[in-house]
Amino acid sequence: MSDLDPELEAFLRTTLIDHAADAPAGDDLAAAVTRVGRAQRRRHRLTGGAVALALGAVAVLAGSQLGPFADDVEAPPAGARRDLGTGVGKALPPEPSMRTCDGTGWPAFDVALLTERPPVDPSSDLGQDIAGSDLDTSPVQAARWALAGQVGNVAYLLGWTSSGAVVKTMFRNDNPAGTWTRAGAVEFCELQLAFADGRQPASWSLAAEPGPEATTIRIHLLPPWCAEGYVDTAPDLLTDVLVDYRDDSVVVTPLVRPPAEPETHSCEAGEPSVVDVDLAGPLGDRQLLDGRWDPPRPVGQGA
Amino acid sequence: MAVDFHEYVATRRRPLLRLAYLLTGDPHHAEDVVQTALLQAFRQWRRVSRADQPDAYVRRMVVNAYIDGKRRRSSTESPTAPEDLPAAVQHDHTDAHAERSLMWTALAGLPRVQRAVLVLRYYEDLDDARIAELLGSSPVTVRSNASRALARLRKEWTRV
Repeated sequence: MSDLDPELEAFLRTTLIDHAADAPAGDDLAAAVTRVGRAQRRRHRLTGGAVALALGAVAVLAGSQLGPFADDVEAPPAGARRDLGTGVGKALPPEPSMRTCDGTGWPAFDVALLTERPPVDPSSDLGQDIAGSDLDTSPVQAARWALAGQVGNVAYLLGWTSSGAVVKTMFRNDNPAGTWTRAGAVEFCELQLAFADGRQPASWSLAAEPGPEATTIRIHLLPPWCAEGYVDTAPDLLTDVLVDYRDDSVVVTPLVRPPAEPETHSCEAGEPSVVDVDLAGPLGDRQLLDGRWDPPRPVGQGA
Repeated sequence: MAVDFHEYVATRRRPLLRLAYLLTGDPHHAEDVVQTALLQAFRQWRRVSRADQPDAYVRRMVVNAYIDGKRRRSSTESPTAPEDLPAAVQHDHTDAHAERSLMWTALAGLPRVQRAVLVLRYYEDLDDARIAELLGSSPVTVRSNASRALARLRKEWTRV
């Protein structure tokens, strides 16, 4: 029988074009793939060098009598505080105890989850549906899953890969059968600080390269909800700038207050907001880090 | 000049995801398939980016990742065996949306290679020689797969 059937073929073509519009956007795809690829490359390299590295590290520690003990940690000096029109600088308060994954709508979770990693109860509905799901087909595999939070009928799951990287996915139970089904790809969780009062850490970049003698740094503020190249013009956006002084780095975390309704963000193309941040003393040769992320990242390397 | 990987993904991810979605019929599997293909491309990016047509190279990886994927059927995927399709109803072909849903369901019931052939032929508009190249088979095999797939779709389509 001939397969020439213009009507069927035209209809098939229309069906495909129609459904193509439902394809996912994959906004985080490039970052996710690069991260996984680099992690895999590192693992390949580490596999070969691990033994030599471990032996070397033991020898160095034995020779220097250094170890990871709390007594070795020097208390950080208090940070300076100065009103600067758009923001102030002050020392970092006690370690924030909440984290979240970068991305729209992820709930905050206790930082203890990252070390305790309590697995989802396998006998629960969610646990059973996770076990019966297609998670094992994902190119990013997690050895175990923990429930980071549930908002409405969405369960937010954190997982850990064999190399210890934190990944995330979501399950929903809004289908007629009431079962939990996967509602997102397995992606790397870009851990960032979260605050119970709703303030959010903003990324930043240097407006001018500071020298070793600098006691003030000028930064450009990048609110997390505005795309690069856009600026939020809302007044009183910046609430604080937290500064954590470390031996080899200075971690700067501007905190911003998002509007009550997410859709009222006023991001506009324009020159970024400039904030001057006072330091407790000269910067010296310490590296400046963006404290939005956990761990902090070199400036200019936001997600 | 070699293309930057990030730039490539930023500009080409949507067409790749559309292709993967039409192949898999499921948004999450589509993302998995594209991730798998891009990871493979990332590892060989120096070579891929210097190919005459890097995009053709990566699309081939997407199609292969789909065909090679050994996965369980997702609970969100529709059952696709003909006997699982809705019972035959009087149908005047006026409800285009319902018809397209049926066509989509019937597509999901095809063997992977047959579905890939149809998507490449009717969505990507590739000729049989190009499809054969992508699938690592011959144009004769492609035509045979297309013929079988269309026959099965026709059967499901006329069934309602």
